[in-house]
Amino acid sequence: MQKTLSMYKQFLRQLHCYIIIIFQGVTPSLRRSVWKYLLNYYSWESTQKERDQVAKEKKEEYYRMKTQWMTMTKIQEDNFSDYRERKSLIEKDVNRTDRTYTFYAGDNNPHIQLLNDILMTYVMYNFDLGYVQGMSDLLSPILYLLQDEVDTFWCFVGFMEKVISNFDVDQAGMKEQLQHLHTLVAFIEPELSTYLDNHDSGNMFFCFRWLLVWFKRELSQEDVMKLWEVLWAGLPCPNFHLLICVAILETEKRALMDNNYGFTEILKHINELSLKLDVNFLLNKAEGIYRQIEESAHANDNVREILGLPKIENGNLDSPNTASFTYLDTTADHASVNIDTNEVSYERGISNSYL
Amino acid sequence: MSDLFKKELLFKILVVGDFGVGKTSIIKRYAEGTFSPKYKMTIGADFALKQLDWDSETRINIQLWDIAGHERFGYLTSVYYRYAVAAAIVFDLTRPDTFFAVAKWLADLRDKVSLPVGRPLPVIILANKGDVAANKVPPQIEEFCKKNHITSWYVTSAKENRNIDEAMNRVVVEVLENQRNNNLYNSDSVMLAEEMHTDKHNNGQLCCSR
Repeated sequence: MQKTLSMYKQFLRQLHCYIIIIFQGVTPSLRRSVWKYLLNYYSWESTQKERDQVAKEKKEEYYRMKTQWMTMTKIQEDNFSDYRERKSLIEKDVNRTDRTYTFYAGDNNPHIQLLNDILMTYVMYNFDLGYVQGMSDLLSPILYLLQDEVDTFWCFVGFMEKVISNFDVDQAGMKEQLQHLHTLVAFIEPELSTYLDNHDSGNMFFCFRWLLVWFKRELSQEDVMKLWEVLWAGLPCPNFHLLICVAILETEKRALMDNNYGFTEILKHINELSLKLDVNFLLNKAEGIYRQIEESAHANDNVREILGLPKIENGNLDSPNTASFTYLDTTADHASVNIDTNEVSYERGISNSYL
Repeated sequence: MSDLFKKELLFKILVVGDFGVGKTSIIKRYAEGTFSPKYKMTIGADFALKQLDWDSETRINIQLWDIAGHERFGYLTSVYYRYAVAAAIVFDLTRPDTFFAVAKWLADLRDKVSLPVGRPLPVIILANKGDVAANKVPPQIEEFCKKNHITSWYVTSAKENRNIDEAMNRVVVEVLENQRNNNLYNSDSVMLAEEMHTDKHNNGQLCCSR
């Protein structure tokens, strides 16, 4: 009974957070608490007492790690080139992270020092990864919101767990995402994908910045927080950020193709979208695309797998066969809906959420 | 001669070097004439355009490629290097390590990009942050340039707008010379449709300038 009750509470808490995220009624104070769950600092099923305990332990752990690098002697540093390099890179990068925002502006800004300390402590937490460019961009909004060194560190750890493959030494994670993105574009916008292939851009490198720091450079602070919440929650599907990319590309398709842009112009055009994107529009559109794929009898397993949809075993995708019906059981009327008509799905996406 | 009849050339020039040496600042200074201490670090690549009325008959559109300096993302560079006609390798006078990285960047360039006829790209070296540490020029630089057939290097300051225009002019001169020497006018990589005229901006500055 006790267990059922606690599961029920956990479910309600999770549901509550998701409703908040979806309806975007998040006030900063609410957001402060929601993020700690989304980033696995607190577990959904924890009690207040347990959370207090976690906070206490995490605080001790953080300061233990912080002391490790702060007490490093000069000789130790001199004999530790990996560490020195990371330290110098972090120092460089925090001093060019969001300096145009008041929160990080000006000389000797204490928040810049905090970014530095948290990233240095992360180096001690995960020395194999250490510090890679882009990480300061991922940290900055978290500190801005939470304004607490320890909480920020652990939430950042949670975020890094979700995107750690972006920073692989061999960049396998980034390469895979660029490939997945190409697969999705080829499915949703075959004309655009062919165009990109024929214009030196099939590698999708022009989307590199979007993917590396989850649109941090493309959106305002407020908008990026809104987007990250959705992505952290895994709503409505894994790899939803790739569908955000598809949504932007679909929007820009005519501009790219009608102007006959090549590799250089495409990169320039995409880079210049920075701070001109409407996050609500993109969320709606991306969800519409997701619904379209979810319901499409033509989506092949490659596409479905990227978005965490069950595979269609039989492989015969042209006619809705029994195998696909098994998986698409919530939608008995599918056969009658022409999924290729984009508007239908987009409308659904728009009416479902994010408004 | 009216603008209408000017010959237009497009030069893609790479700016590379270790993180935080001031690549973005140099590019912004050159292309936009501004400096800010608030530039963000570059992710992937970006670029700026600058139009040069080189002489009465020639207009040169320079495309300056700002390429992220972090080693981790090195696999991207070969794509960004494509079709370049010259490069500037930047290091930071206040950080000696960044000078040693110049060799690494040069090797990366030599390895991944060359002119259509297989000749190496003309390269110059920029010793940046000269406003802070102009006296810290590494003594090995002359030797390094000689050994690697680099004809010019400059102490620059994006902050104080020192030697940036001079250095970039030098790059353009080298590109023009290269193209004249190699008769590359029908190259399919950049738009070099017509025969080049003798450039009048070559001020003969072949030695290094401080």
